[in-house]
Amino acid sequence: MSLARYVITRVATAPLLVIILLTITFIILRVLPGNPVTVILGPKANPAFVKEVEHELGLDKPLWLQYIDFLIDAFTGHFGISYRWRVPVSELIWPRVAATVELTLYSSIIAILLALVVALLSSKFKIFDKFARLYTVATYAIPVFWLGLILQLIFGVYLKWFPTSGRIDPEILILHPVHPITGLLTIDALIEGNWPVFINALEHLVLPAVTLGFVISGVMSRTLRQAMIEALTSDYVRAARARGIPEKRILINYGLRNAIIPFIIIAGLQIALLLGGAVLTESTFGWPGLGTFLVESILARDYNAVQAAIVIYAFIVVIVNTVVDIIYSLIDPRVRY
Amino acid sequence: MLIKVILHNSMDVKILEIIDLEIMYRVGRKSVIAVRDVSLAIEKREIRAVVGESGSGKSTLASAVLRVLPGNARIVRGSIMFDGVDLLKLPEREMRRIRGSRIGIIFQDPSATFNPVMRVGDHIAELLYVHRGTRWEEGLKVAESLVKRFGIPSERVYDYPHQLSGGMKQRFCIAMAIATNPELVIADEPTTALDVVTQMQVLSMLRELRDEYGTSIMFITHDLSLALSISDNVTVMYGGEIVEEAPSDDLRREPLHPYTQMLLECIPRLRQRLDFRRFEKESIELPSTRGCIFSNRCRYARERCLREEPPLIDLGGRRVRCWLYE
Repeated sequence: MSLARYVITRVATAPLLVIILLTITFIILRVLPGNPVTVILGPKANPAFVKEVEHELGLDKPLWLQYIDFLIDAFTGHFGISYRWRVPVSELIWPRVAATVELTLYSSIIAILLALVVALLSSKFKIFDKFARLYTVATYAIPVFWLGLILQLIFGVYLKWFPTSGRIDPEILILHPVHPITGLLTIDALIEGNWPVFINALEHLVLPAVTLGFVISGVMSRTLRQAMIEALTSDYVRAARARGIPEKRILINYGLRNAIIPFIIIAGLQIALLLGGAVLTESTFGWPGLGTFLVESILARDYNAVQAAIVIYAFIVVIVNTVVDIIYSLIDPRVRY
Repeated sequence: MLIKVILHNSMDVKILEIIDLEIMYRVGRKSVIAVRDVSLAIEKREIRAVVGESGSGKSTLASAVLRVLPGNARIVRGSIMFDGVDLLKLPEREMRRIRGSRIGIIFQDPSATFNPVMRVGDHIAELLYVHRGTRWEEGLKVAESLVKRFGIPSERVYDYPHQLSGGMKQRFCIAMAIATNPELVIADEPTTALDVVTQMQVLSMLRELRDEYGTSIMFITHDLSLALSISDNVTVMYGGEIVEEAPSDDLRREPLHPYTQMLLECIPRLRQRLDFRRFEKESIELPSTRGCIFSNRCRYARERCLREEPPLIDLGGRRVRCWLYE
């Protein structure tokens, strides 16, 4: 089978996965105790008024009809009206997604760079490996909100190098307005050459991105280090040394090129997780992303908003997985598709 | 004790000369001797077989020549002269330039030779790029014409290692080993992983190599009959020492050392019933005495053999380590 056909089948099977996820979400939300109307109106509301609101929100319809409505909404990208805010969920959610994507983008870059450096050094130098092990344990053990708070304290409060919360200072945005093209402030600012916004947004990104990047770089560097050592102690590396291939070439062409294969899978999973919204980090830094949105919506029993967030999360995971599989098949000649 | 290598050869005919080599492995806290008192010389255009069972030190010898011994190995003494230069005294940078360029190597397991994410032709292109500075596309062209000569369609150069059969991979390995036109090729059990038909192809390729390019070949094997069929001279190793060395024809006609005799008796001949019983019950443990290392398996072992280690006795044209020929 050709690569093109492989890609097509992979993409074509993705919606099926999304439908399964949507169904599970729908069921769980209905099974969950609590009623959105009582959350909106309070426990002592007039029963007649409750009925009226239920009708308005479509909650009096039979479940299967609600399910069909929900699926149609999901695939048309409308997601219905937010019970809490009384505006279309789509208006609320896309800026949140953009914020999360932006944070993920920078944390992934930081994590991958950290992982590459740590893994390359620790597979090459025994002494550094001890430090690298400590580093990994630290990334597992340090709670992300605690690390966030400490960084805020040091770099935000004492040194005053970076702002501690939000995506951008509102006055900067008012003085230098940006047209949302991608929704990612740094990218949009860059496209328009809007330097004040770009720099301000970047400053806001530093602390949350470093926090998140540090946390996920542990798993990444460990995977990469393991795969590097496996590759560098293999027979084909021994054979390459016996052919007089220089060490630098061996490290990159034989070590890294083989080790990058398992690394991409782990990195892809981590990035997919981040895209779903890093709830703790986003809360710590007041980052208006998907994670905080999901938590707020669940607490308010805002069904449509929760469903929307989960649909987007499902799409993101499926897309990232598909992309990872395609990259995997491109770099590993042994993969049969 | 040490008998100096045959000295009637002038320096320029020898491509490789190993002198009084001793190598130890650290295993846990103990040291184990892998190679001891080994001196041998390989001439230009010579095919030399080094025969021995597992643990005889023959592969350690090969790794030592290329200086790619594992980390727990230590060269205690000796020198390895290659074209008049002691390889053991060379700085690593210069040694790297010799590996794969002036000394080629073929390993036992061809599937462990190739990087799984590189095309087989890229390996040859890389080798030429590293040692000769050849441009990559040119290297691939060289690879194409090389493998064509060994009966492989040239487009297979663009295949990945997992797409080739074992025999084809081994022929690629040989093509790669000679791509830089080396003066010496070390073949470490190159045919062990192959079927009989492919074995013969590989052997004839090696012989062709010597005949056409005058390459010297150090052919390491556990199979004495194979060794006799391809080589000019045979060195038999046992327990890390050379026990016998002779021209192949002489060795076939008249093996001197009791170990070589036993090996030869084990080679099956047509219309002959085999008697393997002799080897069946034997331990391959080396004796703990200070005497001859083969004494506990030797049918002629006398009291002196247990006490005193025999030197490698020069019988003019051949050498043997046994008191019988004193």
